[in-house]
Amino acid sequence: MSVETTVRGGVGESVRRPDGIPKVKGDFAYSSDLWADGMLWGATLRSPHPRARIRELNIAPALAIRGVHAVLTHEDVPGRKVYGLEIPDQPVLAWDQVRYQGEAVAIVAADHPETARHAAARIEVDYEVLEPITDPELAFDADPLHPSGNLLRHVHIEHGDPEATAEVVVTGDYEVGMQDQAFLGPESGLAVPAEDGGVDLFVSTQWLHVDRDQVAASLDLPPAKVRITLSGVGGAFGAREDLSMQVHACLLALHTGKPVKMMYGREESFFGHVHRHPARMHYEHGATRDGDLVYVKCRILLDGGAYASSSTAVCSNAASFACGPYDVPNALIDSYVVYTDNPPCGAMRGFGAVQTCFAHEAQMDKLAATLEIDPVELRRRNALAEGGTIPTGATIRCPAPVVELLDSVSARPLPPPSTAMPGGHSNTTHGEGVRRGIGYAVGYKNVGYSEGFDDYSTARVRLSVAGGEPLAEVHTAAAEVGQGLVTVQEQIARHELGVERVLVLPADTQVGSAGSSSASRQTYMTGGAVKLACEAIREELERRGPGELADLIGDDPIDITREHHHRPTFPLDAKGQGDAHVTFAFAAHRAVVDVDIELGLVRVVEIATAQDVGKAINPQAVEGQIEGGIAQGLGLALMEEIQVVGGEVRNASFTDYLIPTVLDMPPVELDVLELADPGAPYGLRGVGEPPTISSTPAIVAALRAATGAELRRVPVRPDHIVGI
Amino acid sequence: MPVPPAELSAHFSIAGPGEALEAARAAASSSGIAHEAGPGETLLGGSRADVLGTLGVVLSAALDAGAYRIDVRLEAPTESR
Repeated sequence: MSVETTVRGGVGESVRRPDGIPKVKGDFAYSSDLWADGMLWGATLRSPHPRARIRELNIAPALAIRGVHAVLTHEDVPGRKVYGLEIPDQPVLAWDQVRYQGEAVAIVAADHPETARHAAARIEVDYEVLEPITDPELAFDADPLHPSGNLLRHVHIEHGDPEATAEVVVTGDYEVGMQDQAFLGPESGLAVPAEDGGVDLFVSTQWLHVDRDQVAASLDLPPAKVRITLSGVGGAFGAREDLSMQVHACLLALHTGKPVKMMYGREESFFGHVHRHPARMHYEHGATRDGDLVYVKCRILLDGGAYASSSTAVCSNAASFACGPYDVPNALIDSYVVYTDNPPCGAMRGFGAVQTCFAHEAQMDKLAATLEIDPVELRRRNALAEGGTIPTGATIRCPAPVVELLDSVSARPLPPPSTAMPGGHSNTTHGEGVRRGIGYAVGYKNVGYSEGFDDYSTARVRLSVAGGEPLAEVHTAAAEVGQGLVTVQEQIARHELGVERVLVLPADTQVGSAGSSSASRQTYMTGGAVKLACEAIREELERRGPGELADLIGDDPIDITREHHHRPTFPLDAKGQGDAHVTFAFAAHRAVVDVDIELGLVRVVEIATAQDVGKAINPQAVEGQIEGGIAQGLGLALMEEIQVVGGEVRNASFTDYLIPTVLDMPPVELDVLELADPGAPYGLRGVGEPPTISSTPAIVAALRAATGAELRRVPVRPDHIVGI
Repeated sequence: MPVPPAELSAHFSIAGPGEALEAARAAASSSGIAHEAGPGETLLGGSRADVLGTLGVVLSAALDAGAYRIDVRLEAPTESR
């Protein structure tokens, strides 16, 4: 049997994704569109205070409302009363205290969503309001919010000579604000009680099996009795890695014996998921007068908020990538993450690397200015390359084309002067006071999970004959969160089996774990698992002998499941040394901006980017990921920040939390490099995160070039630009 | 979530005088691996050696202070994680 290699829609083609047109037309069914006959609606009572003791909780007024079927508190959680991705420290429902504004205290099921919300508001809670801990710097010595204290993790890295000195030294302090993932589909799902005493949950999430395990633990059910099916996901970006309404909906469904739907509104969504960690960073770079980096020393402080979520991993990533993609012979890095009474922070696209990239790239520009060297030349001179060593002592085993990426973006023609104005063509400016700036940045990050985590993926592929033609069915638990994973699975199955008809089944927990759709890992890991399963099917076909494919399959479908494991990684030791990461992905950006230096208004004129993707499985999807990632990087540079004052969120809406629209996005000039990673399926890298990492510092570098302002903090505000 | 979950977790609740609960809480807190897990309930999460070592210290402290019943549940992560 030979594989038909001319089949359409295989690896390397820009195959149109099946969800694209329905999403644009409004026909796509999101998890918020789920419906079951006779279902109830759930609602959540949340704490209005960032820190308080709960003296008393009275649910009687809510229960008395007609149409209310259940009001549940922590006493109704039959199993583990806490959950968490890395550390189970977050209450399913608070018992004696709340640690952030928006913490869930009680849940209600009613026959109408407004009834449920009304009843939740009628629950009486007697709070003793306490002074919140909101400054992460003060959290170290403040009263402990958790039994083990407020220091959640400290990663210390010593590389080379940590006492190294240099001829030229530049220092800087930098801050990154709390960005939100700002997905468009709020948290939602439908829990349906099952006859076996278990529950079926239809939900938008990033990691079905970890949801299942956490839900089962809190319901005190065996995992097999919690069956999760992925529903239409309206974006994720890390915000759906943690539980939101999953346990609550299942509790209500099992308690009432009826299907229960929960759907957050936009405001509630801001309290219903984690955010990007705000960071304060102090950096010191030492170099020779010729521009060779001698050392980097830095202290990174991340605000983890009230609960752990993915904080320990974010802390580790911030430390690992603190020096950027440069050959740094000596480094001393201390990265801390602490508990506060601010909103919990966790995974978000590029986590850890985003924060430190803003700082190390600002430092590289500052060093270039001090040395009077071109900033691109300084980066080229110190660029990391394949075979190089990063501060954790790990060797780069994949192509590390930092120089090539910088050359690509810097060689592109610059855009001509623009007639468009920052702030539009109204009366903000007629061109006076408008300055153009150009900035560069380069960044890198790990692909997949690190520090010894075997985050494998499972794929089941069944090859049969249906309607006289071969049909390949692919079944995984991998979450399509909008990145185009369904299409990637189809393409790989077509490519490997030479079968045009491929059906990707709904993702659920009836097949083995696929791990999370995060860390730029899903095409690498689940794509790899599908490839392995298809290769095994090919072997079986070859065993059956020569002949036409349909004849070889006949009435005996081939059904094979395979796991894909990446190479082993290892924890960091006490000095932050270890082969902790699977592989890495690199990108560079050049930003061109026009700035009204009198009003502080900004128009990003163009972003040029170059990224090594190893292998573009679907070039159109790669382009989409890169442009989308840049949009989030632009948002962090210029507008996106959750305003938290005294632990209280002031802008929980898309009226006040601004995200870039199509009018804010500039043209993106894109150069995709395909330098194969020898350890990866097809040589591919993860694509999703690098565009977000170095786009932000490139834009801010351009702003600095235009204004001369130091701009130590993102998002940059107009008053920072104007200097007031 | 690129770091693996705790190798082992121990979830315990203590029945006894307030002193027993306080003694257990104090012993657990100094370990750096303790987390509240419900009213009067504590969870230790970490490496197998750390969890089992701390658990012994905590149980001894609670018993010395008059605990008359201690419920303990040990859990290792499921295969899917």
